[in-house]
Amino acid sequence: MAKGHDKRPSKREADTERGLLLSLVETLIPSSNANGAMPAASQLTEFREIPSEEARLVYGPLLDLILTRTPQEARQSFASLDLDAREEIIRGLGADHPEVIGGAVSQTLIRYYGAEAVVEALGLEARPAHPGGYALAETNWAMLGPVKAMEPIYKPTPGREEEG
Amino acid sequence: MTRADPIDVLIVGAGASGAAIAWSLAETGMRIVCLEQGDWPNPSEYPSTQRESEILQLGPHSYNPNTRRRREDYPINVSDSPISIANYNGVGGGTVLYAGHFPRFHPSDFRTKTLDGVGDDWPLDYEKLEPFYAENDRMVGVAGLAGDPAYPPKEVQLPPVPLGRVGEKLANGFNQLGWHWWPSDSAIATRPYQGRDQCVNLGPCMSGCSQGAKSSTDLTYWPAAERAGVELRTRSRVREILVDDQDRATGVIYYDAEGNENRASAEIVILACNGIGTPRLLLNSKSAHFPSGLANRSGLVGKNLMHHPYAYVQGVFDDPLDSYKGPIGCALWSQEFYETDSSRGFHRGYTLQSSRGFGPVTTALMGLGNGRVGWGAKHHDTFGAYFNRVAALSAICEDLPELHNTVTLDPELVDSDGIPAPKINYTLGENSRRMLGHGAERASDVLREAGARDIIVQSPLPNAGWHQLGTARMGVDPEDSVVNEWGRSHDVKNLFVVDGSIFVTAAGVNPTPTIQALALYIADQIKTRLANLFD
Repeated sequence: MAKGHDKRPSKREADTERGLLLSLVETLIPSSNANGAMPAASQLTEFREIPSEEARLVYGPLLDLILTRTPQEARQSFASLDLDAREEIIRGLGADHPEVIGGAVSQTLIRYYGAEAVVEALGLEARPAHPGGYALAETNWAMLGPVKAMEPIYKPTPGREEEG
Repeated sequence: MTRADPIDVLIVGAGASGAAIAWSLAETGMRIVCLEQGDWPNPSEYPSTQRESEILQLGPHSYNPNTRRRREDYPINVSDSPISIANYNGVGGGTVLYAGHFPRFHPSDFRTKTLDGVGDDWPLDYEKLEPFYAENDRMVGVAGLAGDPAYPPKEVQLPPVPLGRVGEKLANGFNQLGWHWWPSDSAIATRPYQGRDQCVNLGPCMSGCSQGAKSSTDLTYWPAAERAGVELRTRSRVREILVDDQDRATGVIYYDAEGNENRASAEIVILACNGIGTPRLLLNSKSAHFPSGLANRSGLVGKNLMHHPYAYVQGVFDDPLDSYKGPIGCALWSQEFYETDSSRGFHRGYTLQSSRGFGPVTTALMGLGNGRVGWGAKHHDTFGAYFNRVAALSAICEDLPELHNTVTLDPELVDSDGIPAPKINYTLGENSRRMLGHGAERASDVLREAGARDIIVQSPLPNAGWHQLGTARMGVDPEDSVVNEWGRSHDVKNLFVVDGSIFVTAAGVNPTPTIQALALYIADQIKTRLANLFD
């Protein structure tokens, strides 16, 4: 991505960039079966079809770091490394560039948890809150019993104690 | 273009107080015009009508005007303040984005000097304001429960907002400790009320209520005021107030929607622009008679800015709480620590307010910020342990008036009409710091007692400058206050201020009911004194 800022990339370059991007977001949010079947970020349309300009804006700084600050071997094959190795590379970069990592992670979280597929995977309804709203059970106000038994705890206006 | 309207009363600002005083004065038959820099809000465009509501709240529907950056939003320089400002510029003002928490002040709040030796006594008391609190409650429709031992007797109009699992957890914690708690007084229609539909627990009240159940003044006072003949001009931003050689306000200069400069003349000018907008306008209204800003012979315009510093404490529980369902800020409160107890190491006190949780996007971002949610291989485990498992308490602390906390004019920053914008200089006082610490500890006690396995404290909450108070304080002494005991400027006898800037002290509760009760009280004073109003 760093090399492509000043000219339109070829299709091959664009595919490589996209592959690198998807390997990055998969590293940030991989798939999991721990809390239901949660997809990896790289599986989502929100990332697979992110416009190039937006991708450069959001992920360009981190991808630049990966491409320029990591060993040659890792740089050439970042996308083909396993998740643990990719995560180790990013964490290594994060020590000196926490704001770059933080920015990319924040934007990934926003897009990921804004995705319909993820909302449904969490067991939530993928719909606007309005107009359907949500049901809340009626409260059993017997819980207030101990408080109702309290004496007043406020201080009256000085000079108006008798009025209270 | 100059307009020569024969206006009797010109109100600047259509928020909480501007709406209330417009409605109350309408019965006089006077020609009343309100100028509002923003537009009517459109509830069908509020984020909760969109599936991406959480994302919208991060940008165009943020409660931070510096993030929102709409045409009608004036920028605010907060580089010298740990607390940034939250507001809404449009019909309804801050009530469009408030949580709907609707507590009155306590009697002691009007007598802090007498009772505790701090702040100053107000030139009126709870008993004088009580009929106007009650009138405002009826207009708003307050949900709650009568009998709270933390208050003198008062009525509510509607049943309380359900506690939900979050509120029940917290209530159990308070009961275990033997501490006071009570269902919040809420400006939320829990049943149909005066043409408004009832709450359906959408959740994000603080980005506008699409249901129309939350009592913002675009839905409560304004329809009634307009029916009574008040004219509301939107997208009309006032640049300055004009005065004559006799120190009488003659009207204002404002910009309309097209950016044209207009002049509106009036017999009475009323400012209802909040604790930042009002001093900004007064300081922008310099003249030969008022070289330091209009109505500022005391030198106190823009001084004594008070917020409510918040300590926000989350408890993370093992079981799911459905915490994203229901009004986010309204379930219960505790005023166990409201009145002064010198053994605590600070004066005055605070309210503990419950807060429900957030949707997945906000939860993930908050978790990233506080270290509870990670990325990489551990992401899903950490997110799963946090999302939908949070109940929170906020300590809303009484800030004391301090001269060095100010609103001034920024030397460079301007709004979209080129009008100088405000700058905030604010530091937390030692009393507020101690109170925040105490509040965070007591909130943690409740959450632990309720079964929380993890406690997360954020204090002071940085994006919590919802309440801007004290910058044109009221009082009987012109040397020590900007307006008198019924809201009229000491220096300009046909100029009134009715918003939160006239507060003498801040109390430890949300200010909107008191702002509106004061506006109704001042309206009553104007109506009573019409024959000699300017004497």
